[in-house]
Amino acid sequence: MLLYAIRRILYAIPILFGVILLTFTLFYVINTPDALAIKELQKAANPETVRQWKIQKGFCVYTEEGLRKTKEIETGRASPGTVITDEDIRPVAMPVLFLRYGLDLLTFDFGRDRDDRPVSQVLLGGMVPSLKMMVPAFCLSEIITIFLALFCALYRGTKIDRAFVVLAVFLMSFNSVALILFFQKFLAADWRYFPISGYDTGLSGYAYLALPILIYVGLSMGVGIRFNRILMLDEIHQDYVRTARAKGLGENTVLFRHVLRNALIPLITRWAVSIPFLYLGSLLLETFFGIPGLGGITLEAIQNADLNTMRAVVFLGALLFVLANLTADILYGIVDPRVRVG
Amino acid sequence: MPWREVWRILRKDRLAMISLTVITICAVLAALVHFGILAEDVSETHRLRRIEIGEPSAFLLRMQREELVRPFALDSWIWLLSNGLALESAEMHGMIRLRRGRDWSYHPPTVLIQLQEHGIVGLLRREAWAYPLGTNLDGQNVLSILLHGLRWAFIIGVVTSLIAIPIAVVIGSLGGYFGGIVDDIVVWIYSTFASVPQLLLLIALLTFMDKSMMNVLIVIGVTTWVDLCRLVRAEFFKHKEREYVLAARSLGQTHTRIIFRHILPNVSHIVIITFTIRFVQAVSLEVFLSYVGIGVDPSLATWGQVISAAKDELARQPSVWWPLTGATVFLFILSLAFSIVGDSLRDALDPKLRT
Repeated sequence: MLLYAIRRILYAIPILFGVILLTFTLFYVINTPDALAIKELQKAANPETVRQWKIQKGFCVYTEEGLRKTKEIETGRASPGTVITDEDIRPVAMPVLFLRYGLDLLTFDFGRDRDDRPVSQVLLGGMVPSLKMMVPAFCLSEIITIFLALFCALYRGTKIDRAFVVLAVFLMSFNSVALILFFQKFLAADWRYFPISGYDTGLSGYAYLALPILIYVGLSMGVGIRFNRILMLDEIHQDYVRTARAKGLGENTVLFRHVLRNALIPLITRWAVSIPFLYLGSLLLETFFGIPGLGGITLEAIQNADLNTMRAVVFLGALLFVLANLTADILYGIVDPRVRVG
Repeated sequence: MPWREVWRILRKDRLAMISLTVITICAVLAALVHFGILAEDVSETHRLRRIEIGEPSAFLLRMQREELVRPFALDSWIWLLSNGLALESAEMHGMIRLRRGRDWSYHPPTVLIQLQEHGIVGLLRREAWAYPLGTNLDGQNVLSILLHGLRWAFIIGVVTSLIAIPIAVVIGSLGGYFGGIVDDIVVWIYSTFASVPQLLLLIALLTFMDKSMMNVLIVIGVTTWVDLCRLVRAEFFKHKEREYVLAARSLGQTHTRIIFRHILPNVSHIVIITFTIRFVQAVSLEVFLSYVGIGVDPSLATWGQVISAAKDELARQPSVWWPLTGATVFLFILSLAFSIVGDSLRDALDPKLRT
């Protein structure tokens, strides 16, 4: 078992490296430092500030000539007319940048955001509202869909089963953005069953979170019913089910004691893999309902072209995904010994 | 041949046939829009000028002077208003808002019915049917906008597939066919891509790009190939040990030929099934991107833009709900049709693929 776990961990390392490489390419290679500088400085961008930005962010360093000039200017000994030009700086080599970038990420040093707050602290603060919304939403939707899936399995092949399949396809075909707009409009703005948006700490926050949670459950139900139903139907044709029935157990006992337990194995994998999405909250729901979670922070970062925050969110999301997969693999190995070999 | 097989299966499934008909009709409509036969141009240049509205009578004079020849429901309303016929009902239903300032005119799809209630039908009957789904805040015909959105949806669905499917098939087939170190690299590449949450990857790529449709298409294309790649690889893994492949190899056929001429036709059903799923996915992604504000330029009439514009339109009093409803219904019908066809194909061709 230990060997298996170690193998899985070793397997995750190249993927983590790949993630760092991919995000590095996204943020540093595809977008040139000049383009990034202009994007981030916005109106304040001119050759002088861009140059300073590149130096400050470590994209470029002064050449010896440039270093001498800056020192002269600082000490006031420069001959009149001495100015720093683009020829006095040179770009840092890519591998060096990459190494520095990777080390920063791995030590969770994400720099500072647009308002000069440490990114890691901003994200940590956003995690609470996100989890507060997503954990109940996720649990609720899982419980409901598993129950419905068992219900379908119980009535498999009948009209009830078919009705749920149709319902699932219908739910999946709705566009989530449009649906959120409609729900917010009618349930919150017009009929005032829920507050339109806002957030509060503690339990009273759930007055605001109720509608987003409801919408999440509605949106994820289609996929959930389909997935869990197929899972249950796959299990129901297994030999152990036939044995249980042959023993004379009732259909309910078979479903809840036998089928559900065995279906837990793939379910756990699915849950583990869903963790990164819980962390992100729902980008859309959080912005629509003004919840100050990670999704909202991410969208704000997009709108402000806040590079450091975006990079941190992308990296953390990927890191969590890798870790969650690793956990799922190891859990799988514990539950199902056949996985460990091969 | 897989295609004939596909057709045989679909013909037996009534629901799938209906869905396929819907998709075909949509495709034809999209093509008609594309060649300029259907739906007038709704790009920025054709957008009706925003008109500062003062007193109705003065406005009417100015309209006559400027010769706004384009048929526009507003003219008629102004006519009614200036003749003291419909002011109350118009204000009441929010069909027209005459204010000094920046408001301009729009009307909901129900204009004809509401007019009938007030007994003024003759004048506006033709006008109202020219706008079966009403007009938006800019006075554009909502039906035309939605039809343009349909055209964009097909462009998005097809072009992103044309980008993503070749990537997925080539990478997946290489990994599955050659195995060993090649496969390790392939698995590494797609695992890496799969690790970064898709929306974040999209966002990271698009934030620093121009808001052109081409960029959106490319970015959606290069971020959505992982699922198909994984399936293709697994399928190639199975097929490379089959007798027909061994036979081809013993005949001395090249690897390229075996991959593309022998194995690929046998796994092409996966590509077909995936296409139906990813078409809808790509269109939904465009909506998401537009809403987030990093999608295409707002002057393009995609459904994403219609939906993201609706956020402000809904908040108005009275709210302008019809463009959003129209886009949602269109999207719903298209998604439903595609997923029914996809399910039907999957059940028939490869039940194991179900997720």
